[in-house]
Amino acid sequence: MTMPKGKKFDNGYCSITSIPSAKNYRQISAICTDNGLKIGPSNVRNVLLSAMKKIAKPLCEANAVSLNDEQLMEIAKNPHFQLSVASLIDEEKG
Amino acid sequence: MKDTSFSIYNHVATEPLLSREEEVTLSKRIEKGDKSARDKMIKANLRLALSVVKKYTNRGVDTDDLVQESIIGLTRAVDQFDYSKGFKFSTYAYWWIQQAIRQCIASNTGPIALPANTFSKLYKISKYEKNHNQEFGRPPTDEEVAREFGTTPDTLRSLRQSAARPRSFDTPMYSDDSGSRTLKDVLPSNAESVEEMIDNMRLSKTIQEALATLTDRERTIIAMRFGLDNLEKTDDNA
Repeated sequence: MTMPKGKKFDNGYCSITSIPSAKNYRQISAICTDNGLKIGPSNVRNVLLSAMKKIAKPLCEANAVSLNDEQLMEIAKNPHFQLSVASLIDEEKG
Repeated sequence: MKDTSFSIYNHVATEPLLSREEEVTLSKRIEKGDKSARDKMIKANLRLALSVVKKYTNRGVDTDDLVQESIIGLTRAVDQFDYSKGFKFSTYAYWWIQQAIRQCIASNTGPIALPANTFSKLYKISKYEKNHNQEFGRPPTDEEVAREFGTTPDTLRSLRQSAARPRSFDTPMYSDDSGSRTLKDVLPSNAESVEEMIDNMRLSKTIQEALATLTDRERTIIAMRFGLDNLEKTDDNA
């Protein structure tokens, strides 16, 4: 099912096709369910956004920017932010 | 003469200049195999060789090497000069000296040894560009140069690339610079600045701390979502 233009971004979806071993929410949901952790694709997205928000908060604070929950969620949803965090984590550990 | 190496050579070139009659006399003796006459002819024309070398300095070949090559060219001219044609020796020798120098530059300039005719073509191109710049107040485009020399802009570009000379980082910035500033001093560095390094370290620390606050489920999902197989390992460290 195709999404209207712009809606993916607004709902926290970002393109992960450039990352070879990355998985979409549906695939993650299937793997988790297979492993006994029952979680739907939307819930996967919510957990991811919540994690991103937890990462965004100290990053903003480190730059002396104080944001409310809504603003933090905006950042967490941002695909550029998500991919940057992923790349930073990868660099750290790689 | 500004170049100190030239003033050294000038002391060597002390033989007085030869008159037309002397040149003919010496040439006749050379023809008969007189080595001292040959030496005298060479020594008397050393200044000519040096004057040609001066036109070719800063072309990527050491001046001393150019002087040697010019003397080789001069020697060849002495051996092949035909006084009976009625020309002055310097008129004839000039071309041999120039040819020897150009060939030396062609084979020693840049990482790729260019054939002498290619080098000569490049020389003509650079001359054309200078003239064009003077006449029209702007350098010619690649297309204009290519049209003038009956080639294509692509060939022209590859010619220039082949002739590009590597430069040492220790090259002084200006020819009259006595020493302190070299190319490496003024080249912008691609390395991280201290500020960037500090920022990156701070960012990395913040991310580590943030990752430590995530639950196992969040970490697993982030790892799967972005293909970070080693995230859990790192989080243990954090």
